[in-house]
This record gives sequence, structure tokens and C-alpha cells, in this order.
Amino acid sequence: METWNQFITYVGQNGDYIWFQFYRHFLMAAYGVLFAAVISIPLGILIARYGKLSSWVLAFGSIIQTIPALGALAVIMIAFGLGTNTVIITLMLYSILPITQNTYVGMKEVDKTVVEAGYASGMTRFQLLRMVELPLAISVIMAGLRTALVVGIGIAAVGAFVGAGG
Amino acid sequence: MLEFKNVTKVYDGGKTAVKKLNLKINKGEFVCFIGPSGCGKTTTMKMVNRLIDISDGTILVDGKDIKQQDPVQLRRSIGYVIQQIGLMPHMTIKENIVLVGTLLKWPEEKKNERAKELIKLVGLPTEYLDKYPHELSGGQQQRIGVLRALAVNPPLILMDEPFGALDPITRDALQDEFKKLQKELHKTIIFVTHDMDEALKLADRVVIMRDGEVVQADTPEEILRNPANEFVEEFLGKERLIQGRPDVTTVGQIMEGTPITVQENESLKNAISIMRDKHVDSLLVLDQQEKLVGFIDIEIINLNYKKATLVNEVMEKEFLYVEKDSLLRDTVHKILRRGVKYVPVVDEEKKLVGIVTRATLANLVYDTIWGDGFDVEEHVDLEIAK
Repeated sequence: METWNQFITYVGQNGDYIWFQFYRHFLMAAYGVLFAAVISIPLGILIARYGKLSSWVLAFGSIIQTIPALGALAVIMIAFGLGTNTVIITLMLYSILPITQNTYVGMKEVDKTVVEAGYASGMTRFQLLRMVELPLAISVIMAGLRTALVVGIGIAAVGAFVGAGG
Repeated sequence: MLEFKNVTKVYDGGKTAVKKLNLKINKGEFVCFIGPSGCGKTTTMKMVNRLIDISDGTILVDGKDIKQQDPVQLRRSIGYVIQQIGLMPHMTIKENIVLVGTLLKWPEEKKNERAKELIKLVGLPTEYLDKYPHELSGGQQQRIGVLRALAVNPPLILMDEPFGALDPITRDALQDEFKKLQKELHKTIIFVTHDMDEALKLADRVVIMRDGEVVQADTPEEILRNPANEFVEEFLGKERLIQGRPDVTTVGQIMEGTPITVQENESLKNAISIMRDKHVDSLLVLDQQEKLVGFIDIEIINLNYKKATLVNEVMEKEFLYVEKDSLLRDTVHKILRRGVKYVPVVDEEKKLVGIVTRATLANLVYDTIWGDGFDVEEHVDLEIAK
């Protein structure tokens, strides 16, 4: 019971601080995923369309994924110094694979006959993407973003070591 | 309307899919491309809306070279139906039908109106417009697929085995419906299929292809009657060739000319002497305009020669006759079922043009079973020569 009381006291005295750190932690993860999405979704669309690139890009993503987070942070810290930027860039690197891969799979899984029908109806490449492929791939792409966010929240905790807080 | 000039397609691997194809398709014509798989029929079709690029030669649509046109605009002006239907699963039926209209930036009202108008064509209720494709059966989905191709009223429609994936009963229904629709709308249609029955049923002209070349391009009747070579014969199948004759032959083609006749105002005495001269037991009776009005036979004369003197007083006015454009199949039925000895053949104005007797039918059956009469004679000659 004593621990419980102490916890309540602590939260009562440092509520603002905890909230601030919670917010900061979440924001770092979210920014990392957001920036990764800006790169990875177009990348996924690109490799889905030009199949030869896909194995290279996905292999590269997997390699990044295997680097231990702490090590990666240390190396990136050399370039970007202490603070949140380093963590966001690291998170971005880790998010690239799940988002790219899911975008790639999502695009590949769109029914080829639907794409052919759209194309033969006179859609431009961009219309095909906007009106057919993206709407049909969106659920798989969202699943990728979610995975990336889960990974990101975990890694952001390590960010405390490079003075990012959270 | 559509013209292929020396069209050749060589794929990247060096395989020639289509070799110097020349073909002219008229407006409103329903053309079926048919052949074994890999014969280039689908490639030929897909070159028309530039889904596949032409290696050499030109395709003209309405006199304009398709290579000079923007492929996107070209495709919007040509309807396209595929075997796998390919409706957009995330769009309602209405959105699917007017897809090309959306691409052409039609106002919403025009799209609604067009969708309602079209869905009535295939006999589906307008409530279906708000459903999604997965709620419809396969046959209904393909009806929508056809409507999508018709949405902006293109003069030319390409169809790639559109009914191939449907069950036989639905396929039959859709074929009938579509044939009817085409007659109303007068579209030019390129229809790729591997089903010979379908091609013979629907097409105005059947183009049989093999190894990227046209083997024969002709009307279904002509192909059945005169297959260009053994390949075509084999492709049609013996069974179809035998069935083919009575199916496609009209009475006019097999009837015998110059039946024995008598004028209606002739005397019975003259009638009987004509019968004796020509060795027949009945005569067809004509009026002054050469129109068929009845017949008279030896029994009628025998019963009435004391009471009457003129043919038209006693002739039988109730009789069976056929028009010369009617199909032989139906005529054969009539002759066999009613047990008559002959059927007079008339033209549209009921003028007598010929006669079909049981003997004529015997010749026909003989030809069907033993091949052309001419062939048989040749064989006989050979036998004698030996």
C-alpha cells in the first residue's frame, strides 16, 4: 500500500512534468513516422511499379532495421548532436521499412484486372493511382503506419540517452 | 470505321504475335476474332486502344492513325469490356457505370441521368445504382461491365472474352441480350472469343486467326459453308459443319425452279392435259400477276370435272408455302411433320419462284452425309479409272 501511496504523491506533485514528457515522447515518435511516411509511401509506390528496384530497397530497409537502436542513436548523434532531432531522424530510419513494405504489398495486391479496366477506360497514370490503387491499398498502408508507430514509441524511450527527454 | 494496315507486333523476346494483318471493319459491324490461344487475337484487339504498342503498320480509327492520337483520349473514346469484369470494388455501381464520364469531367447531373438511362437497358432496377459490385451476381456484374463501356456512347467497343467466365446459362442469356442491344445501338464491336458457338451466334463476320495471321474472315454462314482450309474445318468441328448446312441454308438456295403451273382461268381440261404432259399429279395455280393462289390435283379434278369448268372454281386455296428467305431447317420440319409431298416457294410479293420437294431434301441429306455432290462424282470417276 505504501508504494501505491508514494506513486500517487509523485504523480500529484509532478503531474505537469509527466504530461510534458508523455507529450514529448509521443510527438517524437509521431514526427519520425510522419517524415518516414513522406519518403516511404512514394518509395513504396515507385518500387511497386518498377519491380526491379523492390528487392534492393526492401533489403536496404531490412539492414537498417537490424542495427541496434542505441548504436544507431550514437552514430547519428555525431552528425546531429544532442537533442530531439537525432531521435526523430533515427525513428525515421526505423520506420522506413514497415511503411515501404506495406505500401509495396498494398499496391501489388490491388486486383490487376481492376487496374487494367481503369487504364483501358482512359485513366492517366496519376488518376489510376488516385482513384483506384491508393483507395484499394489504403488499409494495408495504414497497417504499415501503425506498425511503424509502435516501433517508434519503443525506440523513442532510448532517446533519453541523447538528451531528447521523453 | 476501323482499318488494320500491315499491322505487325513483335514482342520484346522476339516472338511475333501478329504478322502483317490487313482488315477493314465497317461501321456497325460485329466482328469476332477467334482462334486457338496464342494466335494473336487479344494482341490485335489491344493494339486498337494502344494497351499494346504496334511494332509496324498502322491502325486507322475513323480514318485517323491511332499513333498520332493521345492514348488517354483514344481509350476514353473506345469502350472496353474484359473477361474478369474489373469493376472498381470501392465504387458504387453508378460510379462504375459512369467512370469514363467522371474522367471526362461530366457534371454530376448528367452522370446520374446517364446511369439511370443505361441500367434500364439491361433490365436492372435503378436501386442497384447505389449498391457495390460485390453485392451483385457474376452475370449482373458483367452487365454493368458492358454498361461501363457504353457510358459515353463510344462508336467502337472492344470486348475481350466478356462472357467467358460466366456459367453457360447466364452466358447464353447475356449473349442474347447483348446481340439485341447491339442491334438497337449500332455499335462497331470487336469481340475476342475462343468459343465458336458464341462467335457464330453473335458475329456479322468471324475472323479466324492462327499464328498471328488471318486464316479466314467471313460471315458465319460462309465459313460454315466454305471453310478456307483444313485448319478452319478442324476448328469448326465436323459436327458443326453437318449441322451448319440446314442451319444456314435458306430455302432459296436449294429450291428447284420452274414448277409446273396453271393459270387460274384455264379450263380443267387444259389442266389435266398439262398434268399428263408433265407427268405430275398436281399443279400450282397462279393468277395474272404470277402470284400463287392455290393448287389443284388429280383428285380434285376427278371429283369436280362434271360440275365445274375453270380451275379457280375448284382449286384448293388453303395450302402450305414458304418464303424463299426462310431457313431450310424450318422448312424441313414442315415437310416432314405435315407429310406433304412438296412446298411451293414464294418471294415477298407471293410470286412463285420455285419448289422444294421431298426429292430435293434427299439430295441435301445425301450432300451433308457424303460431302459435296461434285466430290462424290470425282471419287466415282477414280473408281472407274482403276
